[in-house]
Amino acid sequence: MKENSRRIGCLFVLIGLLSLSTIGSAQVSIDHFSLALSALPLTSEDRILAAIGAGLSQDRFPAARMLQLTQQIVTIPGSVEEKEGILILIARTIEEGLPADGMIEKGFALAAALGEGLPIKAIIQETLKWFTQRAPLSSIEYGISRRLLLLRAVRDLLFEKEIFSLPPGAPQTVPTALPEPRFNELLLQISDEVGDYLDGGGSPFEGEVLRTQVINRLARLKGDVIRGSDVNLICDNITASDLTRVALAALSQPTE
Amino acid sequence: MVKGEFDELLRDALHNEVKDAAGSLQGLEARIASELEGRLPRLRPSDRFRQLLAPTRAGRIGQLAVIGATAAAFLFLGVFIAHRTSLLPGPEQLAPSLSASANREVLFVVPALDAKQVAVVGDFNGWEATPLSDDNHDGIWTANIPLSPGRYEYAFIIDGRWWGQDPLADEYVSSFGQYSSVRYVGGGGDGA
Repeated sequence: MKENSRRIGCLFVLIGLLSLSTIGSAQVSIDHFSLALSALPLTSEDRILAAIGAGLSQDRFPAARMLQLTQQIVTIPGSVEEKEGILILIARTIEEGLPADGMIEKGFALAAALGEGLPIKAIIQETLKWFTQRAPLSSIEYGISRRLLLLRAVRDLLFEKEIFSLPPGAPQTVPTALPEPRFNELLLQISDEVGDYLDGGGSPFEGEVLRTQVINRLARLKGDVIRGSDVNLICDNITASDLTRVALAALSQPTE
Repeated sequence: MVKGEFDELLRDALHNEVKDAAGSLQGLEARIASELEGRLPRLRPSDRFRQLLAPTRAGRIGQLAVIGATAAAFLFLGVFIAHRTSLLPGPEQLAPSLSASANREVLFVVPALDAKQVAVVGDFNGWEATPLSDDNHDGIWTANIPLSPGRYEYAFIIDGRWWGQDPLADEYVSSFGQYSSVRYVGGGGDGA
């Protein structure tokens, strides 16, 4: 009798826990997202909310995780354009009728990079291109991870060469200390070029070819987008073997 | 009538004819030029594109290059002088920013004779379609898009099919087995 009562008690506890978790996930509604996003001046808020609304109506949509990401995006430092870009990637995934859980995790990785001050706008654009090319979702997710690895590898390379970014307002004491927007522009262009080179089937071992492509790209942007002195800084400090190392690092490391 | 007298009469008649018509011939060249000018069709972007591809292309590109180089020299001189005289903000405020620079109209043009819908997708529109138009139905589709200086990847979508190798592109990139075109606007690029 006592044993039966204990069993019934355990059953009730189990049912209670299940009910709580169901209520917990059901508690996430579109209003929570609407409230969280109201803190950002988004240009595509309606589209993002419509996509999240569609996601919420799906059985396996990780609503709580998505809300967590949304709240994190609102609070991290970074440009609104890039924050909105992360949300657009998830919206695009849902719009395409694809499962969003993997892209939400990539959203966390992108948000972390943005929080570190890394420029992620080129990765967002690249990902949108892959969606339009109708690339498989798993390849898109892998591509995001590889581009993030490249971004960090190029940043580390620049640091290694003592090329670094200054905090806002700090005076430029040495030529290799660049204001953050100039540093980030170099970082974005170099890592994006290496990514394009690898995506196009280029070999990381042909460092001279890779270096020529990187320098050509910077040279074409010289003037309106990148200062000539910053291009020279890269020409003088970054070698073919440096870029081979960066490319190999991006190819060999396990993805996030 | 002897032959010499007939010739004399004929010459006099012709002389009088020409003399009478002289008034109406005055300014004839200018009138023809004016008439022709009025009859010339207005050039649309697609016509200009064809002119660029015409046999005299080398000459036109040469002219464009001279104009471009002159403009760039003046621009450089202006920026240099302004910078020297502290008319421009400091280095940290001069940070590269696409949004801070003036937009330029960039012509996207693609021949697609029997197409029903043509659009351009690129990193200037979030890879979502901006339609091209072919108002006179000659199969040349065009769109002018204002772009800030920078590097832009793009492709055309012709009746739903990806078409990434624009002959007017500065270079091409490949991903997932499909090419995209790249245009540089401003800076060292000649996309605009």
